[in-house]
Amino acid sequence: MPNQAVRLAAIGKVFGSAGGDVVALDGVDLEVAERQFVAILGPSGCGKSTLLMITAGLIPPSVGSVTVGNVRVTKPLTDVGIVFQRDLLFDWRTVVGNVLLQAEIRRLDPAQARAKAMALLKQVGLEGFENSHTWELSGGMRQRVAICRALVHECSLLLLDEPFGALDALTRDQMNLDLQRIWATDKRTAILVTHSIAEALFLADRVVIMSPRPGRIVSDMTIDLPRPRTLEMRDSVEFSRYQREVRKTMERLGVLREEDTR
Amino acid sequence: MKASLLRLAAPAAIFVVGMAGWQCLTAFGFVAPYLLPAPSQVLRRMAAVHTLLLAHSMVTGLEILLGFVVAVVVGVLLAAAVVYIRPFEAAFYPWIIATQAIPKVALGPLFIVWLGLGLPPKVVIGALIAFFPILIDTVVGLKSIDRESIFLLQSMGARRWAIFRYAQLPTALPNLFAGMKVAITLATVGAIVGEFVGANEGLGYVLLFANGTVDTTLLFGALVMLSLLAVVFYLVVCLFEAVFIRWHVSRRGDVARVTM
Repeated sequence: MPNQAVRLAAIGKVFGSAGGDVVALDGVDLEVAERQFVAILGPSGCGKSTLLMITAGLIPPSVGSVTVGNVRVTKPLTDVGIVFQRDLLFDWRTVVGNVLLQAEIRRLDPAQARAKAMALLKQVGLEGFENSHTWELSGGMRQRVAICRALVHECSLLLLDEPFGALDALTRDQMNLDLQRIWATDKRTAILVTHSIAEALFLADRVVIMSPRPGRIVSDMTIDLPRPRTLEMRDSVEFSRYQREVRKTMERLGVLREEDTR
Repeated sequence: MKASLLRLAAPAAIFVVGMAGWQCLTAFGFVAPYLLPAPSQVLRRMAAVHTLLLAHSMVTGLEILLGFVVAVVVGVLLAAAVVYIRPFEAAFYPWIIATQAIPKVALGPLFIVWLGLGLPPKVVIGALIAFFPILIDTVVGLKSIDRESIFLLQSMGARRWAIFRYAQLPTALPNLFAGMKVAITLATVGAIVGEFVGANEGLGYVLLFANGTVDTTLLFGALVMLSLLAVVFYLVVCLFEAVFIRWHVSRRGDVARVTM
């Protein structure tokens, strides 16, 4: 399977609005190596989702360039699987039908795609729900379907835009475990946007921290924890050390405040 | 099971009581039969002239159907143009809405002059009255898709047509059907208005004829046929809706019960 490195160079994004221009991103440089899992951590509104959409070629940057593999991204990237915060399942399709949407639009071989979809659904514990209606599933199950949809076509880049942001803490832990397991099977390049420190540290090889608007990358740390990571590991000394480090950085940025300065 | 029985039995009971009341009203001489004939009288008359009523019903039925079909085609095409072609929306949409202020019934005589006494003016009047709710509802439906769903499809390599087919059209279907339900009743109004203005066949013509000869029994017979036509057409639209948007929130039994 081809696998791609991602390079964002001097990305800037300005949104025009009634109250004047808003600088969402300012001079973002980021390189993600092949098969690396990078988490982008930042407060709400720091432009991290915008950065992900720019990476996917879905929103054009105001300045700067995106390169995936050796190709400059100027139109929507298609060698990609995206998971959004909302599951975006179509109610008029069954569970497996939603996963196969990816294959249908890409005109992949139906039989092969179906086998792959079934295998993926089984992998995330949805065996037996293939022909269920979307509205019969819980929030966590729906997001699992969305993940299968992002993976069914063997893309080389996985973009995750706060995929578990709307889920409860328990479901979220389970999803983190599931995602790690799925990602580990064929290790594609992955970029995860999140505002959960624990989630970023649990999943990523590297955690990148962004500042509040205008979004800039202010910290880049390599997470040297063995894989597969376990939930228990989150209580370990190393994990706590990383957590403290991230929190310190966030406090320094003014994202987190211990005392009330208002 | 019990609930569905109630759904059939309750309206049926209302019908029986209503008919019985009407029958008594006339049978005991409260109202003169030439003003309000008894249901039994109407039924006997309908049986006697059933070939005539059926023939005229076929004429009106065809007018309604064609008016409706033209309204759907024109309404959906205009909606697509409004949604996808920005200059078209800017230039024409205000005018399309402005023309709705014209009472289209008043245009009837003009279409009779232009198109004669036959089928075409009725179809045009019906379509003209009926396309508007379809246009408005379809525009709303096509615009109801969110940006992220489009992003998702674009990441799969979908272009405009695929986005329309896989996401926008299904999203718009519930609205389209809502518009069609209104449109089918309006197409009936259009056909009758067209026949009132000038025709030599159809249920509207029968109505006017019966009116002229103060033949209220025939008048009621034509009204019954017209109501049956309208109800059958409406049910057919509902049937299509049930088949095409089974997945929609409004059609899931559990939810519908709560909201009704």
